[in-house]
Amino acid sequence: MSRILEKLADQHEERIINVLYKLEDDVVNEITRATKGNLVSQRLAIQLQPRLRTIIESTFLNEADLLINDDYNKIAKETLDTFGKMPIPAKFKNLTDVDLATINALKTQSFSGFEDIAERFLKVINDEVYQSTIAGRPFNDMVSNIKSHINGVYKSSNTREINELVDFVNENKFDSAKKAQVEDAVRKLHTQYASDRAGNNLRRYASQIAHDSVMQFHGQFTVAKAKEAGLNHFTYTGTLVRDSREFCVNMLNKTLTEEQIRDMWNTRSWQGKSTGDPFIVRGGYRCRHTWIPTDPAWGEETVDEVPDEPVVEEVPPPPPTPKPSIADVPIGFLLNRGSKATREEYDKDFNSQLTDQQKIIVNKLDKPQIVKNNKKGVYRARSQEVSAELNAKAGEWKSYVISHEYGHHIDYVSNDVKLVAWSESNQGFIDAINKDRRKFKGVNNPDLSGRNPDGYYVLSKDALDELFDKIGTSETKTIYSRLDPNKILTQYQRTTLNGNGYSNISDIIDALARGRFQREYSTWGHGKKYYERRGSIEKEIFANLFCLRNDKKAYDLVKTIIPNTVKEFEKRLDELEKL
Amino acid sequence: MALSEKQRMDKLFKAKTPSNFYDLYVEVFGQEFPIIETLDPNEKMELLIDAIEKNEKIKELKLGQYTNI
Repeated sequence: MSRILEKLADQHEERIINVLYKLEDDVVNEITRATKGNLVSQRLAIQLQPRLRTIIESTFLNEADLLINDDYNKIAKETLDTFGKMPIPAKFKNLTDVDLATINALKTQSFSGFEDIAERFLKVINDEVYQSTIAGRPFNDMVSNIKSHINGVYKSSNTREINELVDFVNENKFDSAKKAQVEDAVRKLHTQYASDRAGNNLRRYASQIAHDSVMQFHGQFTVAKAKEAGLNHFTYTGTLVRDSREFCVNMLNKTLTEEQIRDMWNTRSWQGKSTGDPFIVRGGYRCRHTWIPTDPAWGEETVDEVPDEPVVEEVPPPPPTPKPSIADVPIGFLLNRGSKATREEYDKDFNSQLTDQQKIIVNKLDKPQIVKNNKKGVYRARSQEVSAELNAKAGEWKSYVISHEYGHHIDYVSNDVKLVAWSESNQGFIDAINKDRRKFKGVNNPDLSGRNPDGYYVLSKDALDELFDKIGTSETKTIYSRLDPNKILTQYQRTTLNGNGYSNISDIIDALARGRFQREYSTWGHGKKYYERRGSIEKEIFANLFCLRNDKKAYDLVKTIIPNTVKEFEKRLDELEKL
Repeated sequence: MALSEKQRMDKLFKAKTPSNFYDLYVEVFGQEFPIIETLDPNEKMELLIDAIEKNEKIKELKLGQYTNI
């Protein structure tokens, strides 16, 4: 019995998933037809609402209706067949008028679950269209967001490789032999669409409802028939899968009284337990088990002891996460493009790079005119544009690019002189850098530019060797010819960093060495040509200190390298906080 | 005088330290390795090696006066 149920539940899930692709196509086609691929106007956004409702009704809800009307009678028949084999009076084995009324009521209830979810996502899609008119969101971004609202990471794509992954998951998700490959494909899809990781899409909820409705319909009808027949013992039945809940593993094939089941339900909790009646929701969402009525008097079953609750080793609770006293500063809304999820991720990444004091400062000063989630990390002072990649990395470690570029912005907008950064014009900060540079072994040459009366100080190789050992290691990498893949072209020293933010520390050292550190150690840094630009040393050190301030390990190391500069920097932050 | 392909390949093969590679870039193209989008040294090094093998210099990222990376 359970296998038939499982098969039906899986089939329903599959049919709902398939119809969601039709829904995705129909919605996108309708919007494209109405707008001709241009930005949507507010009037058009409102006109589209009833048409989108019709599409959802004719695809998703129509399929739900077919599933319920075609197959739920089969579930009821299976239940009656089970009762037919029991040694109970014949009157309890047949379908009665009361049963028919119960079945119809349960069908209506199941359908209302699909209606609720359809209504919710119709609103989400309508909001997406309407907000696109307000925000001037490009048409293609809006379409992509709508597809994500419907099918999440499984949305159709213009990229063949992504579509192949989606097809593979859809075709094999119920094949246990391919579970590992399916999980791998799902992981790749999540990597492709990082912004959709939360998975709040119609597919997620609809497929779960399709599955659980079958099991719950069966549970409710079975328990109703059991009560009618006076049966109050139940056996927990079904099959185990790799990720079955511990509750289901322990309960499988156990026979308990209704009282024991309800008592256990009220006193225990387990991962994935859902609220509701124990005979209906069973182990929880997507549970593949059912309570089948029985009677120990038939001699086939004995009443079991309620299994002991699994002993969970006492683990001290994690220390409470201190609540940030300062609210996060939003900048995601300034992104020139990106879904709501991307904007939220951007805010999360940015704020994770700031101390409370920095958040206060960011709040006090003017925000940039525009922010771009771009691989190229740039700050343009004239247009006040911050361009920085979300979740940027330097090798395997975090690189604090968003706060680095934002640090440039703070450096400029906090200064009294337009288009001149504070760091390049503040003598205390400039002197501190020169003083810190001279802490290391080096040679003092005459300053031919005449800018620094103390001379032009050049760090020694010993000093740079020592500094490199603090931030990274190197290993030899062999490079083969692109023209002849069997021919070794050369070998070079590939650098690996020692921690998060160390690319920014490396750049501070590169600034002290005016680009020599990058060139001679092949490490992270702006390089020689960049550091020939006037003011670049001070501006980059300021931006790097700004982005490292919230990383204790990295910041502590920086303090040992440029202690005087750090003091001047902190003095500046205190001033800005009090603005 | 411009280096021949054989000379470039020989020098590339013999380069050991990062400075050897950056100096070779100057020797081949007559100018310092340019400012580019990435700060990743390993990416820079592979671009440099590729440029010398193909004898095609790397396109510089032009930065305005008030642009910081």
